Amino acid sequence: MSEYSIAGISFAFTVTSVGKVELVPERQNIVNRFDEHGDLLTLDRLPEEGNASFRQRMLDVTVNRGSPTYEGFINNLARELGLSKFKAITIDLVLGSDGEPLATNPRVDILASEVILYKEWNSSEDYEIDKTINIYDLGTDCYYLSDLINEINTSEYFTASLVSGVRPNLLSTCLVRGNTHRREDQEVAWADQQTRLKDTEWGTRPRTHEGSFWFSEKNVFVTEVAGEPENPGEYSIDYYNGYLVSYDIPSGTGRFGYTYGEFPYTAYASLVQLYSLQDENFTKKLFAQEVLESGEEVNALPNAEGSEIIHQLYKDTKVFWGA
Amino acid sequence: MTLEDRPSRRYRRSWITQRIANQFAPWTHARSCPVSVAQQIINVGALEIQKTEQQLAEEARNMHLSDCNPLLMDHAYSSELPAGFSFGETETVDGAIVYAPPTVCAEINDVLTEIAIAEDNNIETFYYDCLPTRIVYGEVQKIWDDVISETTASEISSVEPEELVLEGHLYVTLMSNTIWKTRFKDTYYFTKITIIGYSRKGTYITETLPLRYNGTFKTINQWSSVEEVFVSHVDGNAKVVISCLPFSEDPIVDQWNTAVPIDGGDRIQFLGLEENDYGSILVGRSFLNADMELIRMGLDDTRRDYAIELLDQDSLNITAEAFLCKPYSDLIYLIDANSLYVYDRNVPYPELENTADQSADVRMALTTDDSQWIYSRGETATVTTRILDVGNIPICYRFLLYTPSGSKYYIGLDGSLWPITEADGWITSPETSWDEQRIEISMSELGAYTLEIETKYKELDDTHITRKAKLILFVPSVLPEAQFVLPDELKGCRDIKIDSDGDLWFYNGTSVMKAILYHDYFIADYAKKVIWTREDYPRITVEP
Repeated sequence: MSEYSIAGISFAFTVTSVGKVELVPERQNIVNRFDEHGDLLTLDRLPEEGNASFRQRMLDVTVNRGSPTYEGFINNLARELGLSKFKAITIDLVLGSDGEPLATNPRVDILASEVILYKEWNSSEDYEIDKTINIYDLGTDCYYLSDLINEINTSEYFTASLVSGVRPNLLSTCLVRGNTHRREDQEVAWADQQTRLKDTEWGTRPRTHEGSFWFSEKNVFVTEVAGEPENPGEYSIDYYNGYLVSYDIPSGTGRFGYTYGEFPYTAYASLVQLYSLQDENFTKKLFAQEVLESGEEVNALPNAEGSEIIHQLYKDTKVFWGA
Repeated sequence: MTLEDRPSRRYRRSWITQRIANQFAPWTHARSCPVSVAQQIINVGALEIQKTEQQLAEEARNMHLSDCNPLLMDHAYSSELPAGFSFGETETVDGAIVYAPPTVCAEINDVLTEIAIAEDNNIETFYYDCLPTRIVYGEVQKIWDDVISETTASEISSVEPEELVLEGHLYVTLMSNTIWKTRFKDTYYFTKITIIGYSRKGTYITETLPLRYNGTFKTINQWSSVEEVFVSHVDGNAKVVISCLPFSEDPIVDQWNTAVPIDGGDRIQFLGLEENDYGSILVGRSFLNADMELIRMGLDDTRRDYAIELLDQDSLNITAEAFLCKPYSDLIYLIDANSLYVYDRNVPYPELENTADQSADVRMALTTDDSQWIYSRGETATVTTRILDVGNIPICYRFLLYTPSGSKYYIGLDGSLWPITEADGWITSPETSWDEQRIEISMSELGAYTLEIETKYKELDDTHITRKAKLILFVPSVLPEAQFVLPDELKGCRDIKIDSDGDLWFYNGTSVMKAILYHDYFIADYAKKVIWTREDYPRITVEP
């Protein structure tokens, strides 16, 4: 018998005795108090995961909450797989020589297959898009994050940079979907005073959206003026420094709301991504696009990728065409 | 090193012993003498109580996720032996036939090296109680910077906190503060420090630490960044340091033991390094006051409870740079310029064999000032007689000293040593009244000195009887449980600490470097034929 041997089982199923054996150890998790904490949070230890990492994931349960929303799914799935989301890119505004942004109502949307940069965003149809960047298709220039950043930086109105430590060749579709649009519903304006907008910093560039303001006391906030309000019903808004001045408020206080853009905007990325077949931005990548007589673009037959995904889904759900 | 050879496996004194003995009246020998027969008996049970108390303390902390011991056993490596493998057998001293531990070799740095079976082949010694077997440089080095380096309290709000070198708990060190309470109208405000920033889990938090005395305090939260720090109700000239590892902590709080003096009252125990004429000593200190309310009011002076001389494996003195208390353990890791030492931090138990022939009904006892019985080498103990039966004055008496090296001498009242062979050492007492005698013993050896006073009495029937009372004076020293030459990258460092994840870091004054301690042990599951190892080896060999 050689120096190293393994158990030999003979034809007659008798076991031969062995001397020195060579083995490859296999790592096994040992249950300890951390696993009990994990049970309380319904979070299991990953194979070969140490205490420190497991503890960090458990603490994450109360911060990046799991929920039935898109982001909640991402949070939960990513955490359970040990792939927590992370800050990936920062998008900011290009400023003019006067220190004010070149885009008046800027907005950025990160969608399933595109990143849309709005120069002038408006809830009605008359918005103005600066760039629509395809991030979904392998052949496109912005399939990787570094290319996406380069593309954004060619914009006249926006700049982008990679957060330190993030791999430049990460897929752009890893970006967690979101936008820079924020809404403030309940701010209080004080009589005959400047009211600083809650989500702006004094002396910083504008983030509030022009035309987005609404007031609970419409008879008091009647006319927006450019300079100092001098007559009843007049008010002025400094969109750049972020404050509101009213001529008078009879009751002492008045409520108002507005929307604003969050800049600089830091987008997260997640190696776990979720796609919905209800998402138009995604489904148009799965179906051939047909233009109707009315000019409307609708989904036609599935393309190659769409077919593959649909078949895969039917396979997993045990439902078949025609069933 | 075998089980019996490990210094910590030798018998030791528990701090619970004195806590129980303090139930006796203050004047009793049982309470005032730490090596009295009563305390020797108590110590047996006290060691068990101490172990239980420590386990309870650890479990209480493990109840909370953020404070749960990150060093809990979380993995091990299993190797299933083939069906035909049979363990050898051996006969115990009782004649029982048991399995013989196999010979296990593990591939370490491409070389098959024999590794030891854990003591008693059990999980506790496999993972928690075992000593490290190797230390290697962890190939990670970070430039060190305190979050807030030493700054006066009045200026701290204007200091921009630095980025955290290591995420985790923060350590706040307060120095030279004199104000502990401020009264405004009908309210008292106490000294505190507030830290604002992001926790390690990404939430924006504020934590306020009450500061009880000049020392180092650990935050409850673990941090990833600090944005703002301010202090309240502090002396403007007090100094504050905030850092990710407590390099400013001196002395270090011993979280595993409590100081219990003879006069009662449990106190926080501190450990620190000092130098005597021979080398480094580990000094145990505690507050003079037991009342934390008084301590918060500024009465935070400490006193030295004991000092243990630190020796290397060759029983030579060392010059230590720094040490840390291994969490949830009695061990300390200590470094000098070239080596890492692992010591047990408890006071060793003195050799008591010379006290065996002490008389049962002594009429004269020996005491020291403050009942001190532990000394550092080179110190002098002043011993005083204490007559217990004033109606019986001895006609003569003599002092006998047993030194740790085994020599015996009679001692004159001036402290002179008389060889046993040349004198009988008797000193005649005054006939009418007894004056308590004081002699000084200078201790130049390590170990237990036994001082004996033998008194001779004339009884009513003109017969003579003698009585012997003894006193132990102890100069403790400790040998390392393990000792390693440091990798070149880690030599010459000035401090070591363990971070919030249980990783070991060396500090050389400008950067911190990660070190990894390995524990090359195995346990054998004889029934299921599985060998469990603690470290990750590419392969192992097992031979019956």
